[in-house]
Amino acid sequence: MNYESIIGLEVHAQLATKSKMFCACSTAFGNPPNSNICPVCMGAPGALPVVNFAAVEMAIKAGLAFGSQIQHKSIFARKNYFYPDLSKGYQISQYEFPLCLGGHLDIPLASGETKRISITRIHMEEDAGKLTHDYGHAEKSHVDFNRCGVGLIEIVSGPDMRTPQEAADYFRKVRQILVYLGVCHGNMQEGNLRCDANVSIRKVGDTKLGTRTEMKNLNSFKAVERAIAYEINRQIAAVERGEIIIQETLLWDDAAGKSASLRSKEDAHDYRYFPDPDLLPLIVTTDWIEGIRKQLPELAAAKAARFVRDYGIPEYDAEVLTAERDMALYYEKCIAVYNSPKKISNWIMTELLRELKNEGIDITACRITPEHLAQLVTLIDDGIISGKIGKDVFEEMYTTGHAPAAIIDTKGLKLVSDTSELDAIIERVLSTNQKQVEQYKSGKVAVFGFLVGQVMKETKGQASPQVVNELLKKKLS
Amino acid sequence: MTTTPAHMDDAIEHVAELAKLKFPDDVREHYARKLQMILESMKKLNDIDVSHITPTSHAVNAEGSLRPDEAKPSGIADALLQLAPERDGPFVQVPKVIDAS
Amino acid sequence: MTTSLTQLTIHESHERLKTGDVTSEELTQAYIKRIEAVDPQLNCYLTRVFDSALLQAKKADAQLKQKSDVTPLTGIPLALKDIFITKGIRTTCASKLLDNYIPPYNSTVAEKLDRSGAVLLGKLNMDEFAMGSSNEHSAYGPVKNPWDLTRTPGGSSGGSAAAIAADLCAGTFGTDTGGSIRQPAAMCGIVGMKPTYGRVSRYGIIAFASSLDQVGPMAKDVMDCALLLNAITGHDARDATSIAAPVPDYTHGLQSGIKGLTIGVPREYFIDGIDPQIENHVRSAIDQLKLLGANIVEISLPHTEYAVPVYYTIAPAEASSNLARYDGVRYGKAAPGAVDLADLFKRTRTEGFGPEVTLRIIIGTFVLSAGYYDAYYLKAQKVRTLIKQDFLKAFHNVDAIVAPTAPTAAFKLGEKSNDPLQMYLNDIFTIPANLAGLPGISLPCGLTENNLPIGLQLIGKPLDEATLLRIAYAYEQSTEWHTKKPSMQKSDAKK
Repeated sequence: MNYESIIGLEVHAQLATKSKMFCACSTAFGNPPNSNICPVCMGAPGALPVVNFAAVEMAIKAGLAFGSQIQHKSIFARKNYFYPDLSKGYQISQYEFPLCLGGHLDIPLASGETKRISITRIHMEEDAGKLTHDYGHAEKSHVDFNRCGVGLIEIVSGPDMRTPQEAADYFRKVRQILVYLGVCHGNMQEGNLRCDANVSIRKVGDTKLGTRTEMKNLNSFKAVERAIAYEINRQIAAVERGEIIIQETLLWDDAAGKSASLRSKEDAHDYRYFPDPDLLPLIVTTDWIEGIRKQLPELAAAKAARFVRDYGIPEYDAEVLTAERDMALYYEKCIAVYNSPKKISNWIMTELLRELKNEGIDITACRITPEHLAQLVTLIDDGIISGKIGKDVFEEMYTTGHAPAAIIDTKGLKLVSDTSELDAIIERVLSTNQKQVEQYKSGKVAVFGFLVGQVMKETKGQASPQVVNELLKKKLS
Repeated sequence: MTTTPAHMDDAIEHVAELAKLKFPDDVREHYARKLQMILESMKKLNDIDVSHITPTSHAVNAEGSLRPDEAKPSGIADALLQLAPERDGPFVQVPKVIDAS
Repeated sequence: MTTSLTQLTIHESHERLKTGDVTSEELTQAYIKRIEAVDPQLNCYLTRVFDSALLQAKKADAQLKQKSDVTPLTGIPLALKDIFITKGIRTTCASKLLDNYIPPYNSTVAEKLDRSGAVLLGKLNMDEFAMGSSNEHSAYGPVKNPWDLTRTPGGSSGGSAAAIAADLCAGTFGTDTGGSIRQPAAMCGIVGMKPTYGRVSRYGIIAFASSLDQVGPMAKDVMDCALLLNAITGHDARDATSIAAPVPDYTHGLQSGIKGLTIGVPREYFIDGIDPQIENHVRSAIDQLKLLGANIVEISLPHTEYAVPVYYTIAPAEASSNLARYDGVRYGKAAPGAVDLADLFKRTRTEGFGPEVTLRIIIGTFVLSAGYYDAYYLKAQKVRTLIKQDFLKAFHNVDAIVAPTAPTAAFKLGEKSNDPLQMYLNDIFTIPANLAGLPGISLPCGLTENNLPIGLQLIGKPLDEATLLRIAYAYEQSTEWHTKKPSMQKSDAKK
């Protein structure tokens, strides 16, 4: 029996604002537990939320990038449930009237074609705190409220994906766009992006959707792919055994590579959404939307096309260079210093990406500045150093972050092209190799190479081969 | 929308679970009676046809004011933490959470 | 000096403080003495902060002497309903759950009072989380009505109203969600005003029903009411629902009279069930307004009868959510020895909330729950629209509306505490203004045969507190009711 799977994703993205969604506490990651808290995000009696302007702008940006209809009036609602990481006993979210409706995203398929994934809605909400289960007393859990109240957008896709691979590609693409827009830092380790998947299966040819399950806690691209594959297999096996799929929430355990049901007495969720009386409707004017639209940055696909068009680099290079926004910016900064797009692209694609991958860091943490990389390529092109020595200089730059010129100076790597210095060396070589000089003069031209080699040896490889050639020819004529 | 006593008892049970309250039987019955009485009095609202009326959730017809995105420490983070009935180091402590959602 | 210092109004005290005739320290000492002597009978104060009050008084005296930063409230001994978050001062909201809650932050109102140089004597009793109309639902015992110690002072700002009536503070601020300022003001014979929703910041007010809650002054007379309102009004960036409209000086124009104003008398406010004595006194007050030059017209607010069920759907719904934060995790009193998380939540809340609060949480949770939302909550919100429209229509033709504040005078302790519906009906005339977000004021307009105060209510257009104060002042100055003082006795002992 053949089955197809129906997959929809809900992506939660932390907004890259400086302060939280409803209070002035910092969103900085990695501060001591419970240091970024105030009466508002701690749900202290009498404290009130006020919406962060920048958070709204970022949500609108995302909506515009995904082709959503930005709603002129949206409403914040309360989602009521109890949990120790939820400080007010409700989460402020948008429910009936979200900020963005509709939209779509095209993802590449293995076949080379693209597939359009519909987006149902994008709404704003706040994050919860973080629970720790392995601190102190074994019978206790511990709460850090630093994350509580950080702004989020939830991007809800239609049930349009058919394979775990498509789902992971969609998630990657969403991340790429949000990072390009500057609305999310996109750091998976820090939990900037999290994802829930709705999965169901049906027999190929059926038009009716099967019962879906919701899988939570998918926090990496790999987890999305593995968890969905696992769930599809689980559902198929269950159906084959004649069981009925029940609608339930599952928690993915990435370390164990399996999911567990979250079914409990409380799972009969009844969130009692209602408009938050502390927050009046969010009104977004056409002027505001259009102002934001004008500021939308160039996204990856457009940038890649421009790189091919303007810089004449291959499509493959352009795609690699634009995969991460920061890498694309790095590349463009290099070009601005030295307009040699293909050579710079080669250095990045071969040397730089390899080093970064080995070290496991991304371009923002790279010690070589774009200016220095551009200078290195310039120095080679100008014949100051050879391409071979350039690689040694690059290694040194990568480790120390020093400027290429400084490295060349201190290590004395500069090619010798001073003719008076070379003259003396050539005289010496010619006088110690009288026999070969005679042979050359008698027409045995092949010894020329030997003589060049002797000069290069004397200069320890730092002589410019071109200059040596010229000078030798002159002396021998 | 029936509000028979048996139905009311179930309703209180459900509501108590949602609101995180827990009653012995006699107390539950007491609240069931009161809730039923109050719901009964609300039936008065069925006299009016409101099918074409927009709901009012805020007393004023205004838009919410927004806040500039400026991060500022509250200066009382530690004082707020000290209010927690149970703490361990820099954390607020709670009984072990079994499932996460 | 024939009247004692504690009987002075704020504006009278201010004059004496300015001339140096009396110091803030003397004034504060007088209140402290009176509180110590009288409050054991009334139970108004939940927390007394006399030491810090005396320090504030000394500071105020220095300012008064140097004539620097003197405001009309400098050195005036005030108190606050225990719903206001006060930094460093225990704030209980009359709930066991917050029995020893000492907040490290301030409400905007408390901050403004502090800046005005006022002296804070302490925190006043109320119904737990402001849910009640009799002050019998306090975890710290009921407040007695100074006019008759066997009766309630009304609620939820019962401690505040009784404290003003008994001269236990010069003025105070209450909160009004369905009448919690105006109804106790009426029952204790003082002046109490609920401003337009959004006029005063709610930041640091422990929330009951956020779309209805509003802070307002409670005072000995209308002038004091205006002075107190001046001190707290205005936009606050910390409250997204606060209104950014210019703030007038509410004492200006008080004396300009009411000639030519049109005042509406809603026919639905004179119904069966209203105490005939109340109706008579309110009717005489309306005659008095006519005498003062106002045009009196009869109006109709046809959806008035639905206000109580609408309110008792919406307010508990919001409250059920607002009170979810009391879970024993971050602050407040947690039930000890919880075996697991659900046990911590359930026992903390079940043991911590009093019966009336519990009942309202049950109602509110029910009307929002799946399957009932549309039939109850959404329907109530729609009828709220109709109630609001009634007022907006009426205000095309009138400048203000006059009505009784409550259908009865102060009732006996225990009289209605077992019948929530009877209790809720007591709010029938005050609730509509909250649902519509309108300003309302209650002021004394008579005494019953039992010597119990009667309240006259005025309801105004949005942001038109000034007109209400003007009418109230004109009425007050032409009558003697505001000068009447309570007996501080039990009704049985009186005869």
